[in-house]
Amino acid sequence: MPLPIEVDMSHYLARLGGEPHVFHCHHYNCFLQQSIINTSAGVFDARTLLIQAATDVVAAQLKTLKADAAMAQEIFSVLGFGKLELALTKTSGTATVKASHYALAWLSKFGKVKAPVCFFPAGFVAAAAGAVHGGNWQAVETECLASGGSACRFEVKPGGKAPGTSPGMGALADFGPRPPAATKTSVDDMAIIQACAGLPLAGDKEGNVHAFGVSLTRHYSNYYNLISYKFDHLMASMGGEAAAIAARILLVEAGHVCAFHTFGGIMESAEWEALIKPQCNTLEDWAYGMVAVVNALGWGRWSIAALEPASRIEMVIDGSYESNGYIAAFGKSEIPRCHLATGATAGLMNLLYNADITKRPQLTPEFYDQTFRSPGLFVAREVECRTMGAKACRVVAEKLGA
Amino acid sequence: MMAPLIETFKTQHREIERTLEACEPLKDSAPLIAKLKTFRELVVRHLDAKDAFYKQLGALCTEKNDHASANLLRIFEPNMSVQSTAVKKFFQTLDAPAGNFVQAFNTVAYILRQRISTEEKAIFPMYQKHTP
Repeated sequence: MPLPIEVDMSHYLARLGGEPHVFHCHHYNCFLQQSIINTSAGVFDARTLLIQAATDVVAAQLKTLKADAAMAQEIFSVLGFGKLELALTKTSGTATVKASHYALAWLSKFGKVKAPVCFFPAGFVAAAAGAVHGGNWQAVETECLASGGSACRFEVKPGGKAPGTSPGMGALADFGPRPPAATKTSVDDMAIIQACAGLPLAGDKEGNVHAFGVSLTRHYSNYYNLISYKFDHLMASMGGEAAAIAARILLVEAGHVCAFHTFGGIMESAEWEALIKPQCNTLEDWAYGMVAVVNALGWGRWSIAALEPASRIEMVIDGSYESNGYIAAFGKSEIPRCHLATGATAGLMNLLYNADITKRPQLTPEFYDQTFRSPGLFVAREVECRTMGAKACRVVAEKLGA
Repeated sequence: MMAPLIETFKTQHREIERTLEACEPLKDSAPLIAKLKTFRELVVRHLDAKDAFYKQLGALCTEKNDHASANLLRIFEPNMSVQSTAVKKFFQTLDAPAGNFVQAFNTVAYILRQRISTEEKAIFPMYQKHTP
């Protein structure tokens, strides 16, 4: 059954059933989840937040699509979360996920854990049960691959909170003409975007997407938005100023992790070698090439507005998925909110000028530390953000120190 | 009453801010470097003391069973340590500055200001809580 995923190139995003979707890798998914759980310990119940956010966005989508159980299973698999089998009656049920993205990713990054880690899948299952039988449902993971189970299993029963409102497509931006490339480049970004759009990045028979040396998901933008911003808000309201600042440091750090592994994986991939590297004469061309790929990920439209080799980059992001979601869900902000974009912009410069990604280094945790903890690293800040009333988001990354 | 250590840090913060303010209008490397050289010892000493302070604060929070603060410090400490190393390295290069020196200074100034703000709003209160 083909899923109606639409790519909207007027907004540089992808949508399915009224929900925007973005590509993110298992490193980002796990780091973000782990950061939220660890940092909120003793402050609020992060597991409930993670599950409820999933239920909110998936319920909205399945309702729009008038999905049955088969379609819900198909969506889960195509998006790269694993192979879902639902066995639901009107009063109870079970669900099994084989090759769960979250569990496998957790095992590969952090090793075996004591407690289950599939919070997004639990929320998805609850939403699917609601779509099939109506009413509110909850799903509890009783066995998890990451904690030694043979598969991830869920008990499903009526009850729990009603799904909250999803921001849906969010506050979409009006795009002006794309700014010209900041410096001369031989990269044909539209050709790259079109080629990336044609890559087979749907779940395989196990519901996994293996590409660029990582496990990808075509995840729900609003899941990231809800868990990130609610994390920030809860830390601020329940943990005070220090907790809120720490939360934002971690959200930016998640962007570093994303750039290091996903951008790094892409720039070391066979696809890059075949399609993009031949267009690149300089390291700066690599930056343009990577930004062209980003523009196929559903993250909004990224443009390099200024680039000083080995020194500074200024990235303009029209319609970032973070600002779309934030404005729709929470309204105007007094501080910049595009944490992923901020971290990823710094990450791109660190990969190019500190890690020398052109030499194809091994993207290990030790190399991550070396790249992001050395003097002369690039640090980024969002100097304009749509959530604060700007027309577009603007991130500047500069080398710290000489 | 403010703990003496925090009082010292805050006094140094004001001095750092005053110096940054005096440096920022300087758009040529030579006068900027000359001004920063007079400032180097204070900044390096201040950052060294802060590096030690974060470790001390982490131990203090653990000792006082303030797990929430200890948890947060595990996030702040490595970030501050990276910044500290990078800023000290910047000040080491004053004798042989790189071409983009003014821009590099602006980034350092931004980082120092952001750090001062974070410490006064978020970090120092953790220390004050356990230091009568």
